[in-house]
This record gives sequence, C-alpha cells and structure tokens, in this order.
Amino acid sequence: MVVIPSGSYTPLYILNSEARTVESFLIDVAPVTNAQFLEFVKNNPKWQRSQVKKLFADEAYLKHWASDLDLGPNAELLADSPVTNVSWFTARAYLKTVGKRLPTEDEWEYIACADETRPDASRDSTFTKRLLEWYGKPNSATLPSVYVAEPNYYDVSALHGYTWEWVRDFNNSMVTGESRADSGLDRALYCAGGALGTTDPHNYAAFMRYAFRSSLKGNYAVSNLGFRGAKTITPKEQP
Amino acid sequence: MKIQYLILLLVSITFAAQAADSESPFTLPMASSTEGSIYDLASNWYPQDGHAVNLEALKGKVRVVAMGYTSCQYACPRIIADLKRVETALSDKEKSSGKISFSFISIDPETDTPELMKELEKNYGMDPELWLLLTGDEDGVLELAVALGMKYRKTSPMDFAHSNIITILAPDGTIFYQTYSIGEEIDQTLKAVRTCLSSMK
Repeated sequence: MVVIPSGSYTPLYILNSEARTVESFLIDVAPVTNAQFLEFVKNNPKWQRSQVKKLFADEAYLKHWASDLDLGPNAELLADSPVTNVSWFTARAYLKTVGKRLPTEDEWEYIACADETRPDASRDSTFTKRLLEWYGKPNSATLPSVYVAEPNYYDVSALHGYTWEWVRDFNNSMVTGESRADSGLDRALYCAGGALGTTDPHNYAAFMRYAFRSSLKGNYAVSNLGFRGAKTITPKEQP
Repeated sequence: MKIQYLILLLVSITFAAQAADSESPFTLPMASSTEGSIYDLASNWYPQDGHAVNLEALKGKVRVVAMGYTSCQYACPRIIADLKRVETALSDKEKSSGKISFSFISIDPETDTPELMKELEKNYGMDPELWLLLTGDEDGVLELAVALGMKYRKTSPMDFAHSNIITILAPDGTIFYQTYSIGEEIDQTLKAVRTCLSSMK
C-alpha cells in the first residue's frame, strides 16, 4: 500500500459542487488479482461460486473461472490479472479478511485525477482523451498482469486502462425514486443535456464512471469491474 | 375417447393453474436457501426502546420496512404514511398475531439517536408493539441499504437525497416484495403482506 497525501478535488456530479477534502489514506498499488481472490474463496467456502447467496452476488459471480476453485485453462495468464465478476459484497468480504476496506468514491476519484507525472491531469484533454479511448475499446479476453502497469503520480497502478473498480459508496447516485425530483442528481448524470449540469463537462470520462456506478447494485458481478483495498490512517496516539 | 377426455382434463387443469397464478402475483421465493437473507448481514442496531439487537434477532416475522431519516421533510413522512395505511388496513387479528412488524430504519445514524426515533414513534402515534424504529452504525446502514437496493447521498448537513422503497421481508429475511411507488394505492403492498403472512404457519 502507499500513503496518499490529503488534498482536495472537485467532483463533477452535483450542480455548483464545491471542492471536497480528502484525508490522507492508504491504497493498494494494484487491484486484487484472480490468484489473490482464489486464495480467499479457498479459505472462505461460503464465498465460493456455488455457495454464495444471490442477495450478495448474482449469477455472473466469477463466471470467468472454470469452477469454484479452478481458474481454467488460462490460469497462468489469469492469475496476476485483476479479478472481475465480483460483487460489492464479495469485494468487502475479501477486504475484511486482509484488514482493509473499499476506497470511498471521493478517495478513488481523487487519485484517479492523476496521470504519470501530475496529481491532477483531469483538465488536460490529452489525458481525458486517453481514458475515453480506453472506455471505447472492448475488453481483451484476459487482462494483463497488474504488475506490469505503469504507476501514476502517487505510485498507484492500473486505476485506468484495466477495469473499473468498486467504491464503498457506489450507491450514492440516484437512478429512480429519489426523494426530491429536483435534487439534480439524476439530471446531472443521466440526460444527454445533463452534462451541462456537471461541474466539469470536459471530463466526460469521469462522468461515465459516475453513470456506470449509479447503474450498479450490490450483488452485481460485472466482467469489467474489479476492486482494490484502502485503509484509513488512524491518528497516532498522543504520548 | 378416454384419451381425448384425459387431454381435455389436462388442458383445463393447466388453464386453471395459470389463472390462479395471474391472480396471485406474489410467490414465495422457492429456493430461499440460495437467495440469501438480509439477516445474514449480522450488523447491530438500536431500537427506539431497549437494548441493541443483532439483525439476526429480527427473524421470524413479516417485516414491512422503509429507510429514511427523522428530519426528512418531504419523502419520509409520505413513506411512513404509506406504512401506516397498510397497518390500518390490517385486521385487529392480523395486527395482534405477533407475525407482523413495521420498521422505519434511519440512514442518518449520526443524527438519529434511539431517543429521536422514540419521538418519531410518538409523533406518528405508532404502536411500539408493532413498530420497530432502528438506528445503527454507518457501515451497517450502508450494507443494509445496499442489500435493499437503496441509494442515498448526503446533500447538506441536514439533508439526504434517497430512494423511496418499501420492502416486505419474509420471516427468513428474504426480500419478498418491493415497491418504489410512494403516496399511491397500497393495494399491492397490502396484498403482498397478506400473501406473506398466509405462508406462515
């Protein structure tokens, strides 16, 4: 894990949204891999594909594996690539066993603003264009190893270009039945004209991430969605 | 002749079965062992009266559940009103059966103490025998909300935007029925409650 210094960023989802402060935290340098997740389900049978309850992971859970504990013919290639087809509940269960948690949306978006050399490249059109090109490309059959990805400014790898990642509070964007029709949340994310309502219409890549997250449910397992661990830095006890 | 009669009989039975099906849109989840129970979440909650309970302790009753927060001015009063309309529509016998309970669960555990939930109970004239008002910890609230498909975001220090969902939990904690329509006819919800109740021995 690496320490991310505190700072602030401006999310794009709410009209007139202000910069949000992100406290210093720890984040995994790479997403959790298939090999790591396999180890977890070996030790926790209730999270195996055939055992898991539908409320916590749907039918697509680990569907790219051959069976409960078998990565299949591509096992060698798959081992170090990010695990996908995992639900929010299963990601949390995994992270609990290693004493970590999912990053919050703020934490994730904050470090995802960085490119290789700058903490905030989100206003740079060459950076956002690169992201959009990736979003437009279909996934390769097997994702490359997480260990060859180029780290960004914070020494964090594979935030972009591999998979999308679960965040702890993915359920904070409205899809239906919000309490107030004029809350602006939905409009800011959904209608084509809604991009006008976002604070940063140039960063369409981030817009897509928010829209994608708001379409998820906690038990969804999706083929391009993985996760990584984070940790809160507990303040040192005063002497 | 006999065979023709048999076919006719089979056809009419099939039709009768389909007709019965369309009249009762609610069927109990057959394989509840694979569906998963809300009570598997095992988080701790604080009722308006008494001691902390583990979610698992809520097993065994049909529960009509909605999430919101006490300082909510607009949507939550309407959700609570809907729950109360369902309650009112039930017979005394159904209400006193000990098989049903109504719950309003806070998404704002920072503000909503059990004391505030108690006030809510009084303000709405809720029968504490029938109404379980719960507040929890932040992580438990998030987990339960996600399991129920609930979205919410803090929009100001006092306010949340949130989905409006009424959920009926079967006694084993599987999700039996959900509705997103608030402030409308409660017929479907009431029907679902009764179907769920009648599945209990």
